[in-house]
Amino acid sequence: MRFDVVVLGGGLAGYTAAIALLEKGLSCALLSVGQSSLHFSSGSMDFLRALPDESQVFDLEKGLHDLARQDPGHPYSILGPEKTLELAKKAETAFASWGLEMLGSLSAGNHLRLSPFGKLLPTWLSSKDTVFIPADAEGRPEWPWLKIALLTVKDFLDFNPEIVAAQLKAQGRATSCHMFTCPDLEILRQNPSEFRSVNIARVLDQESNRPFLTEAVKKAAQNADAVFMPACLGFNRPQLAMELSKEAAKPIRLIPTLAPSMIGARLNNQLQYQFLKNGGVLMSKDRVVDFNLVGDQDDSSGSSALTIERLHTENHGDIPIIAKDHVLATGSFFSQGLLSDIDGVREAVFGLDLVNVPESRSDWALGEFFGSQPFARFGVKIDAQTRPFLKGRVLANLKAAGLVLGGFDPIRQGCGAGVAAVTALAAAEAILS
Amino acid sequence: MNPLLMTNFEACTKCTICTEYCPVSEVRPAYPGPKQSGPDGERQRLKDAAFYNKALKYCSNCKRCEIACPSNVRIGDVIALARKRFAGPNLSPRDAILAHTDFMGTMATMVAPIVNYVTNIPLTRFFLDKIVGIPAWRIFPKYSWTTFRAWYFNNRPDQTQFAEQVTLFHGCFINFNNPSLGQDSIRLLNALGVGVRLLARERCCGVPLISSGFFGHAKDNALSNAKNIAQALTKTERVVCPSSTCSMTLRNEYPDILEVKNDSWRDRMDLLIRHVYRLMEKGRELNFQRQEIKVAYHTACHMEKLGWSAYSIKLLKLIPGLQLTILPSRCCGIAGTYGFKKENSEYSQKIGAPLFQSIRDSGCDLVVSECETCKMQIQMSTGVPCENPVTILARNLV
Ligand SMILES: Cc1cc2nc3c(=O)[nH]c(=O)nc-3n(C[C@H](O)[C@H](O)[C@H](O)COP(=O)(O)OP(=O)(O)OC[C@H]3O[C@@H](n4cnc5c(N)ncnc54)[C@H](O)[C@@H]3O)c2cc1C
Ligand code: SF4
Ligand code: SF4
Repeated sequence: MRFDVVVLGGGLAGYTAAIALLEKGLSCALLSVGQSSLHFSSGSMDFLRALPDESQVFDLEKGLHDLARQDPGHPYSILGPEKTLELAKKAETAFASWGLEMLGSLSAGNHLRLSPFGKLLPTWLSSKDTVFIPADAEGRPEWPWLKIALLTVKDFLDFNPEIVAAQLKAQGRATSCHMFTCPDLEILRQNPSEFRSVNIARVLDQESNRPFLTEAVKKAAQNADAVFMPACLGFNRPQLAMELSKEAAKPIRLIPTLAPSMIGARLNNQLQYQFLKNGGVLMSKDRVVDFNLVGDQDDSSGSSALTIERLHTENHGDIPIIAKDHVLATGSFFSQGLLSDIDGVREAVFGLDLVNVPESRSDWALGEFFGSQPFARFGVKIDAQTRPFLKGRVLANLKAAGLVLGGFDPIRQGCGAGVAAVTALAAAEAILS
Repeated sequence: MNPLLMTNFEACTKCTICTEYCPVSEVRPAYPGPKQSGPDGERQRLKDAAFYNKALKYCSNCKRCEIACPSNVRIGDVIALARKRFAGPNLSPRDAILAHTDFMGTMATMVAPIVNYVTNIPLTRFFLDKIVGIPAWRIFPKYSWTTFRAWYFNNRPDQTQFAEQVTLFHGCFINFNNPSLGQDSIRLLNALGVGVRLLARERCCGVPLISSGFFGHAKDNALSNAKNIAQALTKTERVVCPSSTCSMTLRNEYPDILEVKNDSWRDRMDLLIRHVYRLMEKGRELNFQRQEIKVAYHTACHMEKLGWSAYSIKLLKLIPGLQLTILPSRCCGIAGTYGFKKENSEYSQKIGAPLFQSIRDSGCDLVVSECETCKMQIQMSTGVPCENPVTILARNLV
């Protein structure tokens, strides 16, 4: 089967690259072995939160230039701060035109979001129904509300209101806790291990349960400036929190829960919808099992490029998938884009060259769990056109994007979604040029 | 090898992504959901069969959980295998009627006009609803007066003129309810220079038997079909089938659930539309007349599992004038005979509601799907006709 481009991986990076290419009129297929890490993320998109010297970033443009000096192997630094900035702005416009309603912008700098434990975290873009707190130039919160009501679902375990309330109080917010349930939730709760955010949202999104929701929200809003709820509503109805805000005449805002994340899953589905709407061909639950390279494989100088001629996948068997260009966006260990075993670490599809993998296995991880883990920086090596390498040789018709790349720590540096979006658009640009 | 060991159920990370995508959990909070019914429940069932939960029968076997799972757990298979091991025999006469499509079809076809009339008069519908447990508003598939096989053996156009031959696995729906799809299949293959044979003997693929818990009978069918397919493949290069569900069953459920080996022929059993694509890639040509029509493509659950909707989409785009919309992939709710059962029927319509809405929103004249029960459900619930892509391609040949 022939396409202009085949994208491997259905996460933020894969969909972003694919939709950008479809919009330019290229035909595009996307293969994915399973759902992406968006389902576990906060649903806020982080761009750059901290530098290697541990300083926090709020002015993103300045942060990128500091990063280029301190961390030249970071994908942002490889693309260069100017290019990164240009692509990130493009991403903001693209996301908006794809119907992802996000607040925040590069020019305004990082704002603050709440973690599931109520901690304030700097971030780039947040869905418009989540708690969005502007920050001043030093990163101090500029709270729009003083009195906050925390409204939770009874016996929901992936969100702890007491811990969040304590954090909010420490921020000088007068916080009250409220709880509600409804008969359908009581049925769902009989199965405690499935009483999770998205499953609850699918119940609360139903019109028949709206009266319970409205009543609970109105009650909680009575003596508050705003109501915060764990993100377990609005999965199929992204406007639900906004509609409730109108009814209660107070802002109703969501806080991400522990995984699975309703906000992240919703982003994933919105991207998939855009992909299909633009004519993309989705190949779910499929993976490359074999590929064919052309070019002088034994070129000892290593100067000539190799090209991928065709792919063979599990579902398509003897019918090859043939594309002029390819994007690898298969994620990291979590999504199995990178694999590790006793012999080492490898990129799962092509066995591409990796960066930052120490010789000795004992150097892969630190004893301190929350420390800056070396394995977080493992990943595929790219050049400024996002082209990866195989045994030192450039693969001319392959680009790599997102978490499969090496050289950055998405958690410590707070840059996961930003790297995915920027490198995906860089890959699309490289293909189009 | 114990088929359970092939389901990878130990790889589950407890992420619950499967439940997010289970169409039954969405509308039926009392269903424990794929994670609990599948890998979680399995660990308990391995200790003690008493942990088997009867609610597992609410699983429609759509396999959407498996497609979503990031850890490659074959959850639907874990559930089907648990039902096979623990559910015990199904003694419901209604389920027997619904499940034995080939026997019922043979009987009904003999008296088709009577059956078609009788199954739709109010008194019968009342009886079916109250006593048998098939809801009164469900539209029954019409039975055809002659079977497809009878037509094939008596009236088919000459197939020996073609140097190349394939074997058609037609399935029960073509044979008893919709012979015209069988005829369209022949027309399309003939236009590509390929003659069509049938299996010496074809039984129901077994999918309705599996979903109603008649695993023994399903296995008998599978063994018989496997033998006949292997035999046919000594004379023709491939066995092809227009139905996504029959194809998925022959290719996947035989080894994975029924423990009937198919490795000697699995790669040569193909969805008809994929074989058409294969022939065209080899340079065979089809010429289509122009038709100004808005078509919406629905990815049936088992089509999603096969991963082959791309072939249908590519081929449909060859018809000049045809405007194609790809519907978001969602279960239509019928899941074979699932929606015909009264205890499931309300949920069946709830599951399908978002799909029906997207069909209406698309403003299409026609829905296309490779699944025969999706066809029934979509036509009944939206009033928009639904056809197999084979039919659209065959009817637009010049
Ligand atoms: C638990 C967790 C929480 C996170 N939270 C945040 C957050 O709050 N904010 C933030 O900005 N970032 C967060 N990140 C980082 C986040 O992963 C990135 O922001 C971004 O979503 C990564 O996108 P991706 O497309 O590169 O990879 P992924 O989202 O991992 O997607 C990879 C896709 O490729 C598929 N795949 C894998 N192998 C193959 C193959 N061989 N063939 C075909 N397909 C394949 C996978 O099934 C998956 O769908 C988090 C990451 C994790 C793991
Ligand atoms: S999606 Fe897969 S890994 Fe996650 S809970 Fe379900 S079976 Fe387990
Ligand atoms: S097979 Fe379908 S109905 Fe059954 S658990 Fe999986 S997703 Fe749910």
